[in-house]
Amino acid sequence: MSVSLSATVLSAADPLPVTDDARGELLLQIEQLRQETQALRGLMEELSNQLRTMQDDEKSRYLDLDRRLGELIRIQREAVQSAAAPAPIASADGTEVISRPEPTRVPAQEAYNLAFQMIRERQFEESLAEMAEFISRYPDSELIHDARFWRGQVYDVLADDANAIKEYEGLLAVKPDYRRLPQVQIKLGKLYLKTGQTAAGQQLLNALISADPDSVEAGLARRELEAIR
Amino acid sequence: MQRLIYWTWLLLVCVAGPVRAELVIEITRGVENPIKVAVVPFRFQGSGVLDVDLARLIESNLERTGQFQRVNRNSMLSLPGPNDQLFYRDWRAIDSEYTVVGEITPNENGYLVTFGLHDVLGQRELFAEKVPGPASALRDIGHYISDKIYESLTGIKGIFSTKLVYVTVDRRSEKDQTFRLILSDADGGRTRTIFESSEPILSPTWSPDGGRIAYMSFRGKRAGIYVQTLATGEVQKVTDFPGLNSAPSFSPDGRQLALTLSKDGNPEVYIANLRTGELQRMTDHFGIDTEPRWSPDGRSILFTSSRGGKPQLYQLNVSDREVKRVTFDGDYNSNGAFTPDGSAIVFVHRSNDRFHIARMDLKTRAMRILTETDLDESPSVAPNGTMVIYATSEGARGLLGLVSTDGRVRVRLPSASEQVREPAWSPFMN
Amino acid sequence: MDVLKTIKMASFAAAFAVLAGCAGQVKEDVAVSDATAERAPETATATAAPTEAVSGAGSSQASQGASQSAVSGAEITRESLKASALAADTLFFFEFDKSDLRQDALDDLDAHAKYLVADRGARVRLEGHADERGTRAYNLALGERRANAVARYLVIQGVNRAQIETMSYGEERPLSLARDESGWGRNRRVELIYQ
Repeated sequence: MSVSLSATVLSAADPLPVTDDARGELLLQIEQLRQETQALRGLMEELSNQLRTMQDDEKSRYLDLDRRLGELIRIQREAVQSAAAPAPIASADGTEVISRPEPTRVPAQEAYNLAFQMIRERQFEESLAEMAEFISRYPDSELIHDARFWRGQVYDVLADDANAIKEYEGLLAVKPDYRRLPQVQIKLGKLYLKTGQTAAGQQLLNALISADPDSVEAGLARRELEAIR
Repeated sequence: MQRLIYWTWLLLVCVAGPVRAELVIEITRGVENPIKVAVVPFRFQGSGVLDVDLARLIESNLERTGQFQRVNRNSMLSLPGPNDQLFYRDWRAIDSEYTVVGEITPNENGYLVTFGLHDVLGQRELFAEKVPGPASALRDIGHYISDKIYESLTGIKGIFSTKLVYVTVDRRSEKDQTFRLILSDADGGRTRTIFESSEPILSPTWSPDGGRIAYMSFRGKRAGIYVQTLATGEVQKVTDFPGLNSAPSFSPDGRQLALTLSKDGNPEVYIANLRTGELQRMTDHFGIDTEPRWSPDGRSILFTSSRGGKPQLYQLNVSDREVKRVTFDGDYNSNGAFTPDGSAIVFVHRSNDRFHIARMDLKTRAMRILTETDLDESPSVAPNGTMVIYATSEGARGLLGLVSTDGRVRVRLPSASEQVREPAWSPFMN
Repeated sequence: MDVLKTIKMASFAAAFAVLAGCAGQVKEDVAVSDATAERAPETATATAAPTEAVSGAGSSQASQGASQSAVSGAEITRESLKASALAADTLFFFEFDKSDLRQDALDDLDAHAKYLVADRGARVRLEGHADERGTRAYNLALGERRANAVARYLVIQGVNRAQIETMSYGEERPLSLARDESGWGRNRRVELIYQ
């Protein structure tokens, strides 16, 4: 009744269609639904992002696991092969039999890492021994140059100039194209200057500067040379 | 030990130009080991005194990057010119790593500026150059020399010759305000009002060639998007539909403008062709879609949308209109812009109820908050990608700040105007 | 899930408020046809600052006003409706990043709606505003949404959309410069201006 009444009143004053409760309610409901849809959409976007991140994590975790397993299997194979040499035992059906695992040999990189970790932990004496052990045990590894470099560094830190010089000189003699050559040169040059071998030091540092005048080491070398002037 | 160096001194930038006092620069935080540069006062071979101190301009420019520290003039043992022999020992003694010398010679067309850059440790001249120019272009020459030095020492192209636009407001009451669109040098010097109105001016942005500025303003009571050509002052109306006309962004080829219109009942992102005026609607959602910003490769548009209930950044593929959400940290991320190489975005991020400028690497999705002030907004990245200029607040004042894109260097640019906002960094002009 | 719950609750509250408003309108219409009565201007003086207004206190007050009878004639009705509309508040406030009408705005909006329905020649301008938090272009859009929310409510109450003009100033015209909720709360508003 109220609706029809209001309709008459309004239409008397104005010919435009009447807005009634139902329409208002509908608009309101749409507004509510929109807000809810937006909130749900936001949630959905965030959840799918979480899912994607988790899937990526899982994938990289799997790859990591796979790599580690592969490594482990490879180590085991190597161990088996060296233990079973010269003749691998074959089973009756011809497949290779994996023998009881021998005490495995740690791969070079891991042994090196172990020694290097000691430097990080500032166990200098122990690291010197460990690096020396590494050099004697893996004479074929490329890493022995790094080991020698770090032994030089450690002696340097311990202010054992003579031994530091010995390591660096040894490294230069064996590996004149070592990738950290400028670093070795600047360190050795400084040690020469420090221990009074001025001419040798100057020669080394000048060689360093002329090899690559724009390098950081060249800058340092110049400073060293300035300082003694 | 990470120890940050805090500078507290104020570097006064030479005041010139017709419009009120200019921005004053203050470095609030720099890098750990700034390179020390001595800029010897340039010798003036003419008579009288020049109104621009080139050496000051250059050292202020370098210092504002946070990567350099000036060597005090008073401590210099000698003041050589470009043709004098440099005694490197003298400069080493005062800890200068690099020394800049120069002189200004008047000629019939204006000036000839000769300068040289010396590597003190290397004891050699890195380069020397002669730059001619009219008398009115002395500041430009100073910025040019700063660019050369910066590029030579960092390997990155300098941004001292670039420009800024920003908006200032003089407020007398809610309804009685004067809005000005200001153009200035990158150091805040040489300001020029390019548009003035009693109604708000918003979202100024540069065309890729640096020749035009698009912005939103009201003509009468109606909002519109306008493009103003700087050289001629000519203004082109792009849109003035009923409702919103806001947030313009030029496409990398300068032919189109992405913008926000609500003419269809709701704020949506559109692309307007500047030549034909043709409009393309790019988004369709009943939430707010606004603040479009073109990617450097022109393939996508970053925009703010409340379609997920809260404002977040989304990336729109221009060719198929596919929309991807980009930000997930926090409940307010808006007003995004790409770095020039397109690898990262900077945007406004709310954390702990404060608004900061943040940067996110698009590949790793790692986000980093760059600023510590509050109500930070309108980030705009320098064309070499090293710095972001943004609007911030201090008390009741609105001012501009600079932060390096790694967050390590911060500089404040307070101004004589109470309200400075909406900065936009120009592209390279040369 | 909390978010959804909150939204739902807020929506119910808003739904109730609007329905109450619609019911009120119908009741008033009946009253108008019966006795051409209108609430006296003094009963509609809800000019207290909206931030202090007690929510939900208005509807009973409104029906009380209807009891007073007056001289017949549409002209007088229109004048008295205009008087109460002019006495009603013209500022309507919002929550941060929201464009839902607050309940305490509805009584005043009803007064405006009634006058605009009675006088189809009357025109009103709705200016939407935001506080300074958040980015300017986004706030411009938010201000427009707020103005549209008020416009929509008026239209539901029977006002012709053509009588309403909406626009947004975003955060560019703050009423208060205070940088805390006392200022921000006043700046998140729609201003209703008769043309």
